[in-house]
Amino acid sequence: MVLSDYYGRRVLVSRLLTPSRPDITVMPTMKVTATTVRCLRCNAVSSKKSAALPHQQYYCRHCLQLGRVSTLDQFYHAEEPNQFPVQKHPLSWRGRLSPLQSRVSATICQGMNDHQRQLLWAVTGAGKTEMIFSGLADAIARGERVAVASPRVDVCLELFPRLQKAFAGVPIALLHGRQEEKYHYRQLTICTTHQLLRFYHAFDNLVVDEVDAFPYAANEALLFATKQAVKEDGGILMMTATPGPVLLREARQQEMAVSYLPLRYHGYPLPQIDERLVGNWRKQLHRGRLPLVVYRQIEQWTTTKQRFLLFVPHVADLEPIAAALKKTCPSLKLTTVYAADPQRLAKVAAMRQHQVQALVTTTILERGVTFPGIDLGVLGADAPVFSSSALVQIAGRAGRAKERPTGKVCFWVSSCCRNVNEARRQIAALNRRGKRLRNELSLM
Amino acid sequence: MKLSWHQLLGCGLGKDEAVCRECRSQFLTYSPPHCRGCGRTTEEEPFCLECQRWDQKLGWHLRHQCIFQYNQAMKEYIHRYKFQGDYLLRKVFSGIMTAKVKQEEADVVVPIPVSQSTLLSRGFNQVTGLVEVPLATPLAVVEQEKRPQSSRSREERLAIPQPFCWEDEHFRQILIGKRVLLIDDVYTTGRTMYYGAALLRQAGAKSVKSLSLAG
Repeated sequence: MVLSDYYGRRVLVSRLLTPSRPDITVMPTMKVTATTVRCLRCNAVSSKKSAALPHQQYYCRHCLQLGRVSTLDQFYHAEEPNQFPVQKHPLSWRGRLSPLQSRVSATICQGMNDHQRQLLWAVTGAGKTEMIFSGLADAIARGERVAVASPRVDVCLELFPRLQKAFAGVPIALLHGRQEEKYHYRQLTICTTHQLLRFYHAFDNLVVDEVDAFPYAANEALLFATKQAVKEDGGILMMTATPGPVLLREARQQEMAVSYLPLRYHGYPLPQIDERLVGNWRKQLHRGRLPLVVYRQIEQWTTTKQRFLLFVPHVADLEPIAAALKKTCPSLKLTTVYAADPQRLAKVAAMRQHQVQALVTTTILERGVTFPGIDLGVLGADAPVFSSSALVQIAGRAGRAKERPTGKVCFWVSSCCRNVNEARRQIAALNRRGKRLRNELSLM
Repeated sequence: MKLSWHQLLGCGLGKDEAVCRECRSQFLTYSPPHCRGCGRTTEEEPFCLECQRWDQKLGWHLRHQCIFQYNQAMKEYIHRYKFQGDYLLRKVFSGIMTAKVKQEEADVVVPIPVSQSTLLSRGFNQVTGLVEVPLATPLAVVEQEKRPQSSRSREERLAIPQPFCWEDEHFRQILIGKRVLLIDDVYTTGRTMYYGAALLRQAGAKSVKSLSLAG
């Protein structure tokens, strides 16, 4: 390995080795107490009994996917030297921000300059990514090491080409668990929040996109990962359309600066949810049928060639629904995708390239992904897997394109439930605030 | 955490079960007729083609048993347990593995060894972890080119030279006239097992049987 591989990282090596260079420091992997062991990478505590290896050695089960941390190993670490070529104007993006976006963008830019803890709360489709461009550009021009992280690999995969285009002269590292490529030291890193555990005091500024998404939200290990991946005086920018109670509390207690944008970049309101009762749809599905309302809607989409996403609560629902649709709408080209699908990335790419008209999916595509001009259906929106923030995110997939700023969002439920009501209420509230903002702007 | 009625009524995970019924059901056994050499299902009774080839080549054959099929679920299990080093997962199969070993009533139970360097990085021998009976460890691995078996093709595997030697010469005496059971985690081509068994036979063991978790 070259020395730069250790910059701002903690790399596992056997305890029997000693560093070949004086600038590599050695750090312990685990803290062993009388009854428990603590992993010094992910900070998880386990009982000695469950973490035991033979001969009084211990390992951590919690972050095993990143390579096993055990008392047989040690970490090599080299302090982050910010060894980057100077780039005065790294931003090659030539798009224009709306006046509202520019205002938020300037605040964020200043916050990143001061290495603040910030929250950017902007509705789905507000153009969050574009609003951080100038902040990132300034940070890169200052020679800072920067990362954009997200809990969702799909979000990372969508961000990568966009940032590559926007920062054409800046080499970018893309890190996620499904990837074979070797690690390279880069000024700008895009990674999943899990991968942040490999870093240690590396980044001057870290942006976390979709902070409220599973598995990041309320995951102690990942919160810990964020904290230790930035330098001690580093800044963190969290971005979301649906901040959870923890973030909102922090914001209220003024532990972080909040930028708020309740209007989409094209100025149109968010599509409101159309909620319909369909009774016991699973029972009908058992007989290979879909509820009539659902069927009529999908038939309409099929005849008008309107592309759509159909969300379902569970992986087990995918196949029967796909089979029922194949029978009733044989001309409809659709495919199913779920989290552990081996062809997941390829299928999403096929949807992007218009090779299929529809995707039937679980909550994995609820956020961070944009298919322009799409319509949406959620069958069983009252299932507990759909939290209110997930439902707002799903509804937010529609109407994102300037060419088609509206869209249909159909929620089919067996019974009325709080999460759907809450989501409808949130969308209505955001639209009210957006409208007020628009009126203010037109008066100005 | 959500409690189901099953768990409340005590019919969830049993006391000695490490995985739920649904996961357990993905591990499949071999249905008869079994090959008398490798223990897998075969149409060419009593020996499958592979074992016939071994018999022609060596003049003898193994009497091996595979407890489970080496299917996708088992591959994932072995990956996580052995290659990612999740030692706690030994509990998933240590019960059934121990029971099978005891059933054989061997005088000496010998695990296939792992090399010293693997032992240092992995921290455990994946075979030893699977059984909770006293084991003898007369075999050691000759240190050579370090490359995992699983990364080799079938032909490459069959071509490797004898990888084992005696841990200590006096073990040879102990084995004379004994019924020996050789155990491993996965039986693929049989190459490893045949090398291990050959050494034990040379040492004068009365009989050599073998057992693996999967194959």
